[in-house]
Amino acid sequence: MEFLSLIDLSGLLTAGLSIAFGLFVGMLFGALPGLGLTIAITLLLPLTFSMEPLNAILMLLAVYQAAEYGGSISAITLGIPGTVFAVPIVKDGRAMAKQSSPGKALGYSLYGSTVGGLVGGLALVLMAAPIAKLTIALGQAEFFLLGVMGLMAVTAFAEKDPLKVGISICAGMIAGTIGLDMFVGEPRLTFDSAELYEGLSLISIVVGLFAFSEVFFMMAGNMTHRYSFEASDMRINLSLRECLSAFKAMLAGSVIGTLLGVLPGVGSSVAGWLSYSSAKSLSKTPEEFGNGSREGIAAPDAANNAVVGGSLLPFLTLGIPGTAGIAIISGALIIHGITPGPLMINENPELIRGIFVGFIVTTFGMFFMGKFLSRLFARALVTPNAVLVPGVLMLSILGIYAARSEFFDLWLALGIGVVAFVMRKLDYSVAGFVLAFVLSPIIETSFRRELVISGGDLTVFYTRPAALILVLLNLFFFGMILWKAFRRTQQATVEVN
Amino acid sequence: MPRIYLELGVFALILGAGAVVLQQLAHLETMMPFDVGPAFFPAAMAIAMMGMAGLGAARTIAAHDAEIMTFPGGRKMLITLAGTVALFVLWERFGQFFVLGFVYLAGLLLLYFSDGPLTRRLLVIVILAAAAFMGAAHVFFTEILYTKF
Repeated sequence: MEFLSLIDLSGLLTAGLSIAFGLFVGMLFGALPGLGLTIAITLLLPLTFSMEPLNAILMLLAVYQAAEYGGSISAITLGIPGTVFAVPIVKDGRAMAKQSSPGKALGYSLYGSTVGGLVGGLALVLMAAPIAKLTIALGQAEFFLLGVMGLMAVTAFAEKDPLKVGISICAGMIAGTIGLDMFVGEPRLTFDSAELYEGLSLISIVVGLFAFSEVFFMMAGNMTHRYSFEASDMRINLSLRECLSAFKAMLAGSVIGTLLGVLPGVGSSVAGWLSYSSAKSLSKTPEEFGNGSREGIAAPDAANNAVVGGSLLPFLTLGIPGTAGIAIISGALIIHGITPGPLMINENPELIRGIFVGFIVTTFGMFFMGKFLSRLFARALVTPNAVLVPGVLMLSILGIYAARSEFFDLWLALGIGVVAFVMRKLDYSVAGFVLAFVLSPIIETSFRRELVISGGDLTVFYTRPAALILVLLNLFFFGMILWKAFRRTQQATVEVN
Repeated sequence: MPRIYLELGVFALILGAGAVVLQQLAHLETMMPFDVGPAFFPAAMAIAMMGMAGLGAARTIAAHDAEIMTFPGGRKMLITLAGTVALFVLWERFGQFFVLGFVYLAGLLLLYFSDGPLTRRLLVIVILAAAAFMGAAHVFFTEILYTKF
């Protein structure tokens, strides 16, 4: 009985409820085409103000995990990926749904997601402390180079025009510098507006970039259109033999996802495709790929969920968010006065332990929610945009105002939404913008601090071994960007001729 | 609208925005020894952004892209924007967010459902749905989160 008194039951209950709520919202938003994980995280971010930091982070991580799987529900049942990360699953998922049953395809997707989540989670639990110990030895120069590397990688791996991704990143960096300068306290780019002294509100930015701009896109076409799908045989029930037959692909996807998640700026879009092609080359039946291959479904799903655990590693140990989703989640920590980075593990050990345990619980929770409720989420796919758009707009308005009770933030989000809509139409990168916005203070502060510490000596940025490795990695990504830009120009010239 | 015009218009805006940033930073000075100062970083980004925008503009002109850009749903988007602006202005001036929000939500639902036939049944459902949504929002935000709207 004494043992029971040591357990904080109310704490466990609230953490469990936060995870369950996050999983539900994440799976629902991930499944609904057009919404996806960034909008789900964005809309829930204002709610975290009144929550305990651990519960807030667990809820947002649950959204992230579940939305990755949720994207596959619509990919398999409708052939429309709910999120961009579910694109590699469409072909095989749809083919298997037609040939065998949607439940079978959803099963491989869910089992893959769970294995990926567990591998990513284990990597996080096992590697976070050693990496944090190593990172304490890193200097400001290395943090500067890591931040720059995240942005270089986003540009190098983006499917969009590298020039436009570069412009988006520069704009995000400038937006991140608005407010009082943290060294000398002078206002920068505030246009004498008191509302801008604390900088731009992250909530306004992400709501404008992701929620408002997305609803403008959703207004194109018939908004009362309802998707229809075959709701029969959606029961997820894989035998052990079936599960083991795709296990190698799941593991390959998990390892690839975890490794690419660790690399800031790369994320799920690359991991999904890379794991798909790796699974194909490892497969004994590569001819089945594209025609309903179980490995073709399991590997990208495993990679997508492994990315979540992987991307938490640089975030928790270095304070560098590697994906747009993690960048928004970092906002929740900062709101609670917790600065992600190497000191966090020592200063907030309970929070870190809670995140580790909660992450693994979240993965199992996703499995059970997916197993029993996928059919329900698939039914939600029939909701027309005429209902979704006003709902998202009103939730966005409520969320922004609830965060700071400032009308300025509402106007800012609306303005950003309109600009982001035009920019997205022209292939600029909103993910690059938000990542640059969050990384901007890290990059600028570490650069300036290092210069002050070293007495203006620029050689510190490449003479230390870790810094030199990061410089080489940055050069590698820069080379990739130049090569990509060159290829695009060549292609454009051929098209014109 | 021809894509080339929109592309060039946006590049021109980016160049203009970069120039405004540089002008705003001109008065900032370095105060600490060895510090590059508060203007250095945003100025460097503005210059890089302007350089890339210039390059992009030159590339766009050279490409002679004849693509025409369309904005399907543009009417709905404009009405939604006007409605949202009206909501913010009226709310800021008169308060009563939940009443205004109900009107806004019901209006949007009716606008978006106007693609199909508008029946009396739909009208009742829209009004009930908007009232239920705003009622739930009122309870959640004001009674649980104690946010004053």
